[in-house]
Amino acid sequence: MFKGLAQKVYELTGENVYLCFQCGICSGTCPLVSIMDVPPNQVVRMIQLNMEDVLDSNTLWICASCYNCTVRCPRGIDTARVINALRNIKMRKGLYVVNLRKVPEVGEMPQIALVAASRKLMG
Amino acid sequence: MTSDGVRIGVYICHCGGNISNVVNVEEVRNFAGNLPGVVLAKDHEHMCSETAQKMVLEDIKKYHLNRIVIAACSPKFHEATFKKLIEEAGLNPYFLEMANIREQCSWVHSDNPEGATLKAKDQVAAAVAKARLNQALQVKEIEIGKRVLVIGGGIAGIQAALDLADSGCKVYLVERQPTIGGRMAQLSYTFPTDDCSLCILSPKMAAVYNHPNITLLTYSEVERVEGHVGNFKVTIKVKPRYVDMTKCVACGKCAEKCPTKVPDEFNYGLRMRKAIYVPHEMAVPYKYLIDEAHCLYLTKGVCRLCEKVCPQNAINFEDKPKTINVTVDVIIVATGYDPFDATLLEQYGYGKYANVIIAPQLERLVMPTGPTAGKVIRLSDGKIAKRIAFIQCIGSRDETIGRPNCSRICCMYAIKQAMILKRQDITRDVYIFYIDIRAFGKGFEEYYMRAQEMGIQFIRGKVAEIIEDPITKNLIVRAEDTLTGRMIEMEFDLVVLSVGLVPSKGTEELAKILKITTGPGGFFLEAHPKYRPVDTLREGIFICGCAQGPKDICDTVAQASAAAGRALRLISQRRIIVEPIKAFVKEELCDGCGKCIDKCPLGAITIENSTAKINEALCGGCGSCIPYCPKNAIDLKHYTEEQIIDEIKAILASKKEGEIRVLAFFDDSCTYRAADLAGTSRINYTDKVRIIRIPSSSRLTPKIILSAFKFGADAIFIGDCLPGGSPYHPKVLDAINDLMRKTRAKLRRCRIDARRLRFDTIAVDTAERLAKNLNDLVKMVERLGPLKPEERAKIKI
Amino acid sequence: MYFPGCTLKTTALNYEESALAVARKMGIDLIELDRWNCCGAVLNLAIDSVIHHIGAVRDLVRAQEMGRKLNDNRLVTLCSMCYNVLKRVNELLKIDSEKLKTINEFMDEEENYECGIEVLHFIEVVRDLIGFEKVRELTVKPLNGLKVAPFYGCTLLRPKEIGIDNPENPTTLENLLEAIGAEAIKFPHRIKCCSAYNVVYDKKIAVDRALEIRKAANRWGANVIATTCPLCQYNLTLPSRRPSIPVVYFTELMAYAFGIENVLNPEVRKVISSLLGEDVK
Repeated sequence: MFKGLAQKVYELTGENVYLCFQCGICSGTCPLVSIMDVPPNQVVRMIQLNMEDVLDSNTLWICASCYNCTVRCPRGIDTARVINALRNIKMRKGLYVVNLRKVPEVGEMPQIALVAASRKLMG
Repeated sequence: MTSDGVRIGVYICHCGGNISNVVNVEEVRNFAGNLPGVVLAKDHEHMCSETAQKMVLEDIKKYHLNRIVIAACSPKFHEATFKKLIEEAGLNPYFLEMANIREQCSWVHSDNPEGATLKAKDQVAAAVAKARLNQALQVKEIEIGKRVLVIGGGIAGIQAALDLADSGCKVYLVERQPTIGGRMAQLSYTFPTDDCSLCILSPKMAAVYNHPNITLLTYSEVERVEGHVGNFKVTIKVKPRYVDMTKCVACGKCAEKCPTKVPDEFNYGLRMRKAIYVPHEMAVPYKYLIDEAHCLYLTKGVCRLCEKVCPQNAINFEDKPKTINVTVDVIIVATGYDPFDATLLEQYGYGKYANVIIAPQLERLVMPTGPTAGKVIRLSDGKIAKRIAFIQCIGSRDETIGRPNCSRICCMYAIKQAMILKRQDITRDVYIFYIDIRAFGKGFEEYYMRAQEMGIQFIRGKVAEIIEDPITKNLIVRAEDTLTGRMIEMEFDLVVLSVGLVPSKGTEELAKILKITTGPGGFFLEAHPKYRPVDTLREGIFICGCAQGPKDICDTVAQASAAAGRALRLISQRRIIVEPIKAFVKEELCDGCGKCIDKCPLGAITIENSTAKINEALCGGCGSCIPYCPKNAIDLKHYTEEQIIDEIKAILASKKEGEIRVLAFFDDSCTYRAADLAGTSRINYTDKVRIIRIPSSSRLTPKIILSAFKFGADAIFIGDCLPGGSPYHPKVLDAINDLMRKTRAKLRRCRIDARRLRFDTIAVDTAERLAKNLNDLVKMVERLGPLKPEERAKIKI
Repeated sequence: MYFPGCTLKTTALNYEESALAVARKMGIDLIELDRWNCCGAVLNLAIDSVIHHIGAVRDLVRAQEMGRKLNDNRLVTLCSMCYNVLKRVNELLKIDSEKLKTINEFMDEEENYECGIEVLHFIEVVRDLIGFEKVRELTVKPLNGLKVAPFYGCTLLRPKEIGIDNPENPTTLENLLEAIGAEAIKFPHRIKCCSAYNVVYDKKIAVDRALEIRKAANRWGANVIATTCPLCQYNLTLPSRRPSIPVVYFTELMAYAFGIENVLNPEVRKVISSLLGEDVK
């Protein structure tokens, strides 16, 4: 039904990104938006406009899927899922964003951090 | 119903060549002459001409005809004319049948004269078969007088009441609050003129109070409505004020002494009033009343101070609710709106944080006669607010609370309020956080420009949440400015939530009392949003103002006058004709199970003596009840099951083995019109389709459809209106869908390929699509092949 | 039945110990699953993913087996992340029978999962099965003077379908804290995210986030933060600038209030008692 990134995202999530009317509430609510280079609403906009360089933003890796955005989206879009889809697109090509060997305190960290990191950040 | 003594006259029209150039009218005439019951068959160049009509009149007398079939153009053109004609001759107009051999025959099969002629014969045969069983039906006349009930005394109700009263109607205006004026009385100024709201409203309120034709019933509610247009029996409950209105002079001494303080609803809780009170300074009627939920005497049996000090002896603790019964001809619903309850969106802190208010509260704060004498202060410390933020779309355009609609006025009222704040103090910082600015009306965009000129900051980004600083009670607002992509985090003294509009409390209950429906969002549903915006699907009941949907005062007044106009249209006709095409119960089959009752969207069915009874005055003739009767005990006048099956038999009688026939049922409002449009557009399509006209597909039953297959149809096409396109109640579509489901199940049991039954929604203007649909269906049947005689034999009806 | 998850047996052992002790005091028997594996910590959100749920499903099957023996279908977890994953996988398989079939067929050496397990977080058990009244009764040392800022974190409250409370304005922890005599501070960050696994990717993100949360808790007048998740605990206590504010698990506070503070890690015990102004025993 759609083309390009929007179609890929639809296949991975079942979400129709064209519903987004760019109100910005997802970005306003995101606890980590200040360190993202592309805020969540712009990520969605770039998917709508099939701008593939959105896959190079650091937003995909910083997003912790805390679901604050999804809970507040007035159009009912599951934004966390959409960003996760972009992450999947990159990971399924075999991208590793983090190398656990290089993380200094890996021995002290709670396992859930490591498991989560490996599932979310390693292809 | 017997067909003895039936003497049918059939007339085939040439239509000046439009029919006769394609269809062999002599052949059709000869064929018609041999049909059972036909005494006379003629053809004529122009059946609509004076000479032809005279001929028909004479024939009726001479040959004692008692049924007339005219095969000519679409009944949509001349059915009414011919009905009047035979009425002149002394026949009941429902003894007329028409066969459409122009728009649905000669004009669409011009490439196939043979096929067109055969089809014309079949259509005439069907018309004759139906005419044989047509019963005499009486059109009922209901007298319409000039009595009107207006429910709701806000600006909409007031406007409608005045228009009607000025036109000579007797108006009962029922308002549930103790004063009229509604929400408009609570406003400060109105956009885009910035008129003082009460200044333009009060003269109308006074006019209502003084109008000789208006009976004003305040503090009253409509409890029950029975009957129908021209004869609505209304029960109104008048709540007790405990103050004699004839004695009270509103001196206010009672309120001075009253010890009980209650948050003032008129001021949205920003001020306190007493348990004995007058709603506001411009209340109409300007009389006191006692709030029985808070009065010490009425709840606990102590006090009675007001009674002691009233110089007029107007207090009456013995007051009781009164019931008033009135009969009216027409009802107008103008029940308005409530502001959205912002406590439901907890992230904005309304109700928790002192300095977060809703826009209606700001209206009261800026009023010089308001709770703070016009000073816009913070509720936490009483200081004047200097940095104010407006947050738009609170309770609107939001799926998280199930309110996806826009409330239409919030952009404009926020701009208005922002300008008021700036006019009070130009050094204030005023921000409006929006998603879109909707300034669509006359003068609205200019108003918006003036606001921008004043330096009001517009930030495009919906606010995610508000955080209250625990010490200063200031509010920190977090949003993204989507236009620059930068995060904004700002501190404000005061935050105003631009709340949307929701239907006023009690709307669902009133809808049940009036037997009208509400639509998405809960507002009353109009008959059609474009061309019947103030009608409901119940004749004689109209809606206007915010009761129908969010709108500003300009549009409310326009709709109120529109509703008054529609009411006057009915009233000036003095009587309305009620079409007799209604559902009826075959009492010998009915076992009183009552399954039909809920299915009628107009509440026309009741059970009496273990039998269902249909109130013809309420019945809309949609037939939604029919598919649900387990005993098949409900039928439709003038389109009975027996008639339709006879039509089917007649229309398929000419079919030879190996030929393909598709039987199509067209609903009268949409599909039939679309087919006529195909005719006027000369769109050719397959001639293998035979057409039967019905008011609505819900009138069909599995028995009718199976009969069609049994008697020769190889496929069946059913066309009906799109949702929203039907003149009947929207529930009729549920009935049609349920009917299709049941029928397909039966077809599967008979081992008939369910693809042979096709249902589609057709809009009046989609003639091409209809033609294509029929062509495709025929092609599919050609592939599947006609039904074999053994398969037909297996069908049990 | 009780599912600990990897972290609780190692870096968050004090959470488990305090919770088990508190549960015993309230009369709940938390029986650990005899076999379990890592649940996966996060849910894979792509709608076509099936294999990523296997870990969680195996745990649910373990619970199903043990549940039959114990005649109880409730699986309790302490770790909020485990709760989130197990509950969401459970709900997903309840509605998507295709996926359930595929997973069941894939795990052919296991019995089929029949979606009969109810996943609960420990705090739901306290709220719904025990009730805060009972908690109040069991409190022998009410934590008066303790201003606790509850930190729910994200996985306990969202998505709305599995959240244990209203994600905009939850009251569960606040009511619990009040029941044990402490003052609950409803600071706005209590429903926010600590940045979770970002600490692995870029420690600075977690440090900055933790600082923001601690600052807010401070401004709102709290003197201790209570968490429900080992990762929040870790992130919020990453060494960084002031203010530093003690962060403990809510079960540790409950243990102290119930008078069984001997099960607590001595450091935690010291922190709580000094906040209460008591001498350390």
